[in-house]
Amino acid sequence: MKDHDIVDLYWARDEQAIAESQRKYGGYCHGISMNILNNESDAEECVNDTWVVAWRSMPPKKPGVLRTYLGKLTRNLSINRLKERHREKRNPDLVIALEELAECIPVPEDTTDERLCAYLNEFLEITPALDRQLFMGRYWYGRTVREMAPRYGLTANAVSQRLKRTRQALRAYLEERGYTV
Amino acid sequence: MKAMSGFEIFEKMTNVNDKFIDEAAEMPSPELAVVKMSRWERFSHFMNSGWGVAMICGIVAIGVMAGIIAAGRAGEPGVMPPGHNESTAETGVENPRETNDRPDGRFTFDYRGISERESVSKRDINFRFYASVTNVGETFTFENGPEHFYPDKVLFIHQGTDYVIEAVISEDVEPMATVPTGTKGELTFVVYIPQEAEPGLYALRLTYGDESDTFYDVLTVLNSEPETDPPAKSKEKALEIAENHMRQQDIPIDLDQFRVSAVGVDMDSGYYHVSYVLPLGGIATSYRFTMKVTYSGQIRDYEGSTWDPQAYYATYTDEEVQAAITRMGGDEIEGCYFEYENGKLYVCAEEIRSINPPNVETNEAGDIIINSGCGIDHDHVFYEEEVIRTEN
Repeated sequence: MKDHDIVDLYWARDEQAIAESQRKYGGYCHGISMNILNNESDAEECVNDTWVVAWRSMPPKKPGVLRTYLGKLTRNLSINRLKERHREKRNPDLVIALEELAECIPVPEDTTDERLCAYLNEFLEITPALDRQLFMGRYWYGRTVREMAPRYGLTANAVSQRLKRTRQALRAYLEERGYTV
Repeated sequence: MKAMSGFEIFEKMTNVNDKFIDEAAEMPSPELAVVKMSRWERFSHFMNSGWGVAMICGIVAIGVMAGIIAAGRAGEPGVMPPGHNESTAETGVENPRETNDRPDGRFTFDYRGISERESVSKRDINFRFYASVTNVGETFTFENGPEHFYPDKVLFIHQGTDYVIEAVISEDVEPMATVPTGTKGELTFVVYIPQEAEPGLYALRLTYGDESDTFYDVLTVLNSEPETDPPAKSKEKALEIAENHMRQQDIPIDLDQFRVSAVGVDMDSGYYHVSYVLPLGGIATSYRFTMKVTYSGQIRDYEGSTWDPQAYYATYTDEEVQAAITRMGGDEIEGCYFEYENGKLYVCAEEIRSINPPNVETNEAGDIIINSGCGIDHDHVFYEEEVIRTEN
């Protein structure tokens, strides 16, 4: 079923919308949640919550790209779930990714979400596609270097190096715009 | 002023542009990944290096000149090879669907493309595609990741002759604008090679828009006759043959643990190479079986046929591998790959030190002939470092 048909089901308040979302994007959302939470039952709950939130939000929302809309919902729900955990229980791979992010993005605490996303969008726009995909894979989807390397036909070392260079470029990009801490 | 924590940034990143999220949603298929650098991948690696970019610029500059000359000659009566009809001679374009004397099976395209390339020109030509082996006159399919890859013009230029062949972009391919960024898409270019075309290297020139970005790559047209045992006809068939072969091996573990890591076409022979990997826990612990698959089910060049459980079950940690890479030259070395020899694991890398310029000649007719084949002459330094286990 096409995305707009699924969205139409939500708008028609047809519960089949959830079944179709689960069928088409259940794995995608589960992957996002697992990468963040590293816990099967928590991830399942977050994915189930995703359908609930989607059900409540459509209408009035009518997302252009259903996949990313649902992905964002799952990501937010998973992050909220992560906040509830003690720090020591966090996924160690994700903790490393978070440290890398903090190191490369010298953004003051009072920067708004919109502004940070605007910087990131501008930066990603000029970043080569492969590096952009690796960056998003690592820092949006929470994938590990080892997970991505074989899929992109690179060694883990090569992926790490590419990510490192992208982080350095992002830091330089932000610093050029006066963002230092 | 206090900076945001990594967690806060991670959280705020949720709302970056949908197209970037969508683009990275699906990673490439593992079947397309390459676990070890073949000669072609080493070439590709080289082409991605600074030297490669310099080389491309040089080739493009010279190639544009040759392309202009060759394209000019393509329109001249009598220049195109015998057997070409008039419409082809006039336009340089022929739709194989309208061709009755299609030389099916005589030639085989063997083109793997370049797995990754970045910013070689103003336009972001960063694509990843592999072409399936097809016969001339059939469709020539580019798979995977066409988001930056929709040329306005595709030419095949036989190096050393006057052939300039313009590919016809199939009408049933949707315009690029309608393909969502990041989706796994497929473009089909229908191409035609004249029956008289000589086997050998062809340059593939892709032109993008009015910026006149031109890109050269190389493919091989192989004469497939006489063939006593041609390559497996399809990737699926090659996989089937390879799997049967794997199951006949006396390997004391569950074969289902293996996964296919790469199915590729050998640049020189046109045969499928299938690699199986057994992941054993770390990046250095996988072991690979590679085989060349023929149409009749014969396996050639089988690597890894001698099973040595003790050696192959040896496990290495990431730290041990990283230590070897550091000894070899540190983090700056890219594109390391593994070699397993005499029960020892090595990390290897190759560094291009210098390249020799492509061979440019002028024939009697005054045409410029450029040999920009994949066998670019270069001097390189090879590094190798044993991975040493720190614990028993």
